[in-house]
Amino acid sequence: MLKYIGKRLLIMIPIILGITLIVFAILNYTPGDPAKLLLGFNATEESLEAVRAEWRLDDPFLVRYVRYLGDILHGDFGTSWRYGTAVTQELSTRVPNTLKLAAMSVLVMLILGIPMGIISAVKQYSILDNLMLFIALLLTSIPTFWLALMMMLKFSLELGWLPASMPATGVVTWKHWVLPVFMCAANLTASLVRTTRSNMLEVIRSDCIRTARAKGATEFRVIAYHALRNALMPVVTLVGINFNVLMGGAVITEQVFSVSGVGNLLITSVRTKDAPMAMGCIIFIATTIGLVNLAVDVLYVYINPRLKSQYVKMKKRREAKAA
Amino acid sequence: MKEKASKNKYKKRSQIYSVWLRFRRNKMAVAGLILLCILLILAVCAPFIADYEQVIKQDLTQRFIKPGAEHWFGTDAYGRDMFARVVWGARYSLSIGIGAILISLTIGSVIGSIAGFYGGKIDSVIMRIIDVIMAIPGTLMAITIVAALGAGTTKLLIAMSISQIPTFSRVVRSIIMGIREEEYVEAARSYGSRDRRLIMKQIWPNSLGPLIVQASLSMAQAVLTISSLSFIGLGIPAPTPEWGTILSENKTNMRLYPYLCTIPGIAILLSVIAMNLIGDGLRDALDPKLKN
Amino acid sequence: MEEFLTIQDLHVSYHTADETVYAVNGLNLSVKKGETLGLVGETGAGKTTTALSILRLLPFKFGSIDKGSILLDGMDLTKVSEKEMRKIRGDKISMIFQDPMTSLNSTIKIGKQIEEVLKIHRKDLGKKEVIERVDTLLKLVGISLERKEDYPHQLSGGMKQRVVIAIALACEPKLLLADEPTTALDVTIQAQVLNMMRELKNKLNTAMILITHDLGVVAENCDSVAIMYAGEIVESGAVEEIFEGTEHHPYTVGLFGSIPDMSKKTRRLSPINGMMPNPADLPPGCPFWPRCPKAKDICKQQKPNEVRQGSHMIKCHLYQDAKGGEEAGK
Repeated sequence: MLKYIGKRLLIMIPIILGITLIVFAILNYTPGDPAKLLLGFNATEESLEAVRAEWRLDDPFLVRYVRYLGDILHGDFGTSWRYGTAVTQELSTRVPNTLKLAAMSVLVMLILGIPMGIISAVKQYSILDNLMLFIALLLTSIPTFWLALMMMLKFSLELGWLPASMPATGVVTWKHWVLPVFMCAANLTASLVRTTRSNMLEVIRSDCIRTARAKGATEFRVIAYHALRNALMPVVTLVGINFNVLMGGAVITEQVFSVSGVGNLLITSVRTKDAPMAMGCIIFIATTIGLVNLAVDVLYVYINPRLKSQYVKMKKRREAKAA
Repeated sequence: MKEKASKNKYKKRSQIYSVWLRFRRNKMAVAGLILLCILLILAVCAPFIADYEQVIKQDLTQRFIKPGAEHWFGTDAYGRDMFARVVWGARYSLSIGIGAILISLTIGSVIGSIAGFYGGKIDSVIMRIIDVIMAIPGTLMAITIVAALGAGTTKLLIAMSISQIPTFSRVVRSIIMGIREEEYVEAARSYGSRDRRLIMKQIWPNSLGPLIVQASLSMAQAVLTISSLSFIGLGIPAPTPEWGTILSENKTNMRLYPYLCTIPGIAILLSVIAMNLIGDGLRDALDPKLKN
Repeated sequence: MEEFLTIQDLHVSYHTADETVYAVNGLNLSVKKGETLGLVGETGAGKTTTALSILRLLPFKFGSIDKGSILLDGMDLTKVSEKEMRKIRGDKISMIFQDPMTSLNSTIKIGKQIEEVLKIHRKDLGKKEVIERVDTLLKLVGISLERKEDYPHQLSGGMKQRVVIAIALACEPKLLLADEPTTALDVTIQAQVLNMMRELKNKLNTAMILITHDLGVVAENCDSVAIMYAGEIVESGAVEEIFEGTEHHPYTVGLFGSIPDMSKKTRRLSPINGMMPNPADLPPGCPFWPRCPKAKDICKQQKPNEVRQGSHMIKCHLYQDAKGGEEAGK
């Protein structure tokens, strides 16, 4: 298993390199002078030159890119052109918030999506099923930022139950997280409902469920013990595949609720052409997505007996060979 | 000879016709189609409904008029008629969405076909690049490109197109790969037919369905992303009446004048629902086996 | 011996959005205690549907028993509550399904799957006793005990079917429904599994309905035979009566004609012409007449009655005249 994980981590490296190259190129070949950005428009030509020399901005593109990669290998993600501080330092204060938002969204999406999908499948063609499908359609089609506005209107402005955005300073309570998490989870909850439903329907019609019924098992047992195990396996992979959509959504969510996270930072840096900062954010997001996908695949091997036994068998064979 | 030709024609038509028949039976899908048609007609007819001058002209004497007979959707903080703005918004939001999908569909199909046709090294290089691009969330890709190019209608269109290309390349490539493995290709190869020509012949009938389905679902996503980007200020700048931009302009007045935010949001919601319904309906109609 | 299971005038149909499929149409059948009945017919004749109706496991909302009764020891299974039915399933009646590859749950260890049926029906058994019973069952079907912890995909097809049989026999059922238990297996394994089933059945004195389209299997394993066509029994009787004798339903004759006979050298196989009628659109009269070489005018209009001679029953107009008096006297 360790070997597999190692291999997957190796595959991630060229992908992340590719991403850095693309983003570096985009930020490099578009207009805007970083030196001017840092010093303001009133800066003298001399001071601008000094900054350019300090950061070696006049070197050719590839030279700078390779130098950047070299710095990353030493753990140096560069200095923000805007704040003048180390990128890693700024990131480290933002990362926890983004991870919190993503983790809570996944949790909410599982807690809401899976039961809704099961109910929908078990009561196929009933009013309940149609209701669930209708909610799923609404949630996939709703612009989440608008959903956020409507939730703010109702729960913050009208009822005053929940705050409408994160405080710039001060204590952040669970109440601050409710609306952002719902906004971030809305779209994917819907696809989870649909996938769970269709998997469940397929499993319910399968032969092994008929065997379970022929044993005299109660309907509850048939669904909860026999069907669910089989239906939930593909759902695990769905969470992995859609995690990048979730991260994309998180960026918008952070912006709407002014959550001080990586996504928010990314948009500001991208707007201000703060290239090192933007690169740092994107590398972080891409790495997180890669790691989550890897974790999901490993988890999948563990819950799927077919893959698990294959792995055990391979291990035994290797041990036999070694002996 | 003539008879044979007409027979072929009949057969071809009947295939599309049977898909249409199945699609027509799906009430939700038909509702989506009607809805989208209405929205498209409004978008096309926007100049006849309101002059663009009026859509952006500010008139502070007409501020915050609640929806009524004179202004169906009321007026905003600058005294502009919301109905006119929302109708013009359809023109912007839908045309960018449709345009981005058409562009990425074309480029994506070409890239996907090249990868699928030639296989081998060309294929793996193209696929690796696509893997890399797809590892970045589409929204992020669009944000980065927009940020680099600057805000604006054309730039947003370019950003949206680029971020959708990989999806379509993948669809087309997998279809070609699938056709290569089909038994009739094997059979034809066995009696010496050149498979590239064969594959060419099979591509259109086989890829049209999945591509249209993918296009309508991607279009729904594109309309959502476009409005999101405009909402956070990275898309179309005010005062152009894109739906996301309208929402962004009005969010500060949402508390006292909720209609300013509800109506444009419902417009986005309806158009995205319509596209999703059409996509789902088409998928079921093209492959009835998939439907539960 | 007394009749253990009696099915009378059973009608089962499936409903789809477009059409209603009449799968079983007025089926009469009876099985005695300890007896093995071979239910023979082409694919689509309604054999599996009949078995599923006995267990009331027809696809939910899609298949329905429209008419008739299924009496098990005098209790009408079509009328008992779902709760009662659950107590019967897996306990008094159990079923072996056609495809062992898919009929086990791939995510649960096989020991647990056998255990489950005991836990459902033998609540008085302690933990230890359940495990002992599972071990006995595994021995009985010839699977070594260490495979208890295996998942289904780790077993071969024959072994999987043995597990399915172990599940079916766990509660020593009074009636076993075996739906083509060996079709999915290799020929060499087929004989093993069938021999084992026969032995176990005799040991437990279980009645069995063996569904198959293999007449060889019937000859070796069954006491009596029922030939099924388009949802009806067209001929039934003791094995000897069906395999020998001169008076047969034309369909039975056709079935026997389409298997190769090694004793006669030059004869070509004579398969039955045509296809089974579409069960959504059955012809009036005898359902077999479009394919029957001996069809008469009356066959197209009127359904034949059952003609009995001892235990032998034929449902065909050919024999209606000769034994008409007997039928009328009934």
